[in-house]
Amino acid sequence: MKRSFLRTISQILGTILPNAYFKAWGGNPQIYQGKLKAFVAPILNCYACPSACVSCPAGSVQHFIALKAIPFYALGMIGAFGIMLGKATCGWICPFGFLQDLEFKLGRKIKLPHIKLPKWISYGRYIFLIGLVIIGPLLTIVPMIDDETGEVIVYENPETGKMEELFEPGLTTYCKFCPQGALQGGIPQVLLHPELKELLGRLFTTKMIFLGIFLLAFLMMKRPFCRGFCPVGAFLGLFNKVSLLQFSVDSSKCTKCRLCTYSCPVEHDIYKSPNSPDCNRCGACIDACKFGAISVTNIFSSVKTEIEEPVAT
Amino acid sequence: MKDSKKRAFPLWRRGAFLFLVALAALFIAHGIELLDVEEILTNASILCLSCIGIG
Ligand code: SF4
Ligand code: SF4
Ligand code: SF4
Repeated sequence: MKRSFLRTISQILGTILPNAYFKAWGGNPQIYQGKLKAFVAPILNCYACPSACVSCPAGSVQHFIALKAIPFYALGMIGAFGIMLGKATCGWICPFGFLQDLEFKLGRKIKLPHIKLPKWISYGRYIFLIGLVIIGPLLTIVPMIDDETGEVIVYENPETGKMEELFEPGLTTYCKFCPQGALQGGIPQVLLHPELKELLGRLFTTKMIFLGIFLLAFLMMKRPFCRGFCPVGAFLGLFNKVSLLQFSVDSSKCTKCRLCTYSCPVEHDIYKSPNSPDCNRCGACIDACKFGAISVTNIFSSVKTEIEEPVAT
Repeated sequence: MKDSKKRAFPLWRRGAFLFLVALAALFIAHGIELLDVEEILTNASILCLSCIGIG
């Protein structure tokens, strides 16, 4: 079976299965609240989507930080996937990645221009990861003040016996921007619960504008959101160099023709840097290379041919 | 060209892989022990008004 076909099947399953609580769309719509919600999936899939049965990594990390808790569990869960597969879940199962792939294909069909993104766009995703997923929720935690005395409310922690300050949880600042939240959480929740319409204001409008801009961009750019804005991809990509799954380029076969780059959904030059944080491990380049220079391997393989790790740019 | 017997990946990367496997396992176990993650994440998903765009 062809790899691209397998990948499409995998992306379809990756879109349906994490959102398979179809009951939520029935007569008495209620978000899924079962045990699977504890599973932090290594994809950008909004847990506020009515039928989502797993948790979003970006949302989970923000939520733990907003509660003043170190997100050991959420980081461990995403890290476990990253360590094994690097960023492969971005290439193979993420619904938002899939949407971008589909839209770009549609853009080609209707002959829209292909706008290439500069390499520096990839720094953006780290800024979003650090700024809005980590620092934002932390900085917005505020102490709870007693209205009458004007002082911070303290209580005795029953576990430690120490006096501690009560606080208002921080804000999930990335979620306020996230277009996947708008698409998967915002629109369906408002459709299913018309009473929410009264609560909608400037934030909803802003999120819809962001979503609209991204949906337009996806038609003309290759995965702009993944490359410049996604904190989940930013985190997973950090593991590409040390994950079990590795890619290798045989420099004795590579002619630097760049067929791999043209076929790549994120326009990455794999022949220069096979295990870069930018690569989504989709494997499109392996099929595109006419010289069989690119291969999948693992970090423990001892290669008997003259394989060389090309110098990273 | 590197010599043909050479390993594909440097030792530090293999070491980092093993270290990170242990670290992730530790993080997950410690996280579960520390907090009721199931309840926290379920509540997070119900209460994520920011996802929807309210607030
Ligand atoms: S809004 Fe975005 S970041 Fe937040 S939980 Fe939903 S998908 Fe995740
Ligand atoms: S970078 Fe983010 S949106 Fe893109 S495929 Fe990965 S998790 Fe999904
Ligand atoms: S470099 Fe190859 S495997 Fe990586 S994202 Fe591009 S086409 Fe996919």
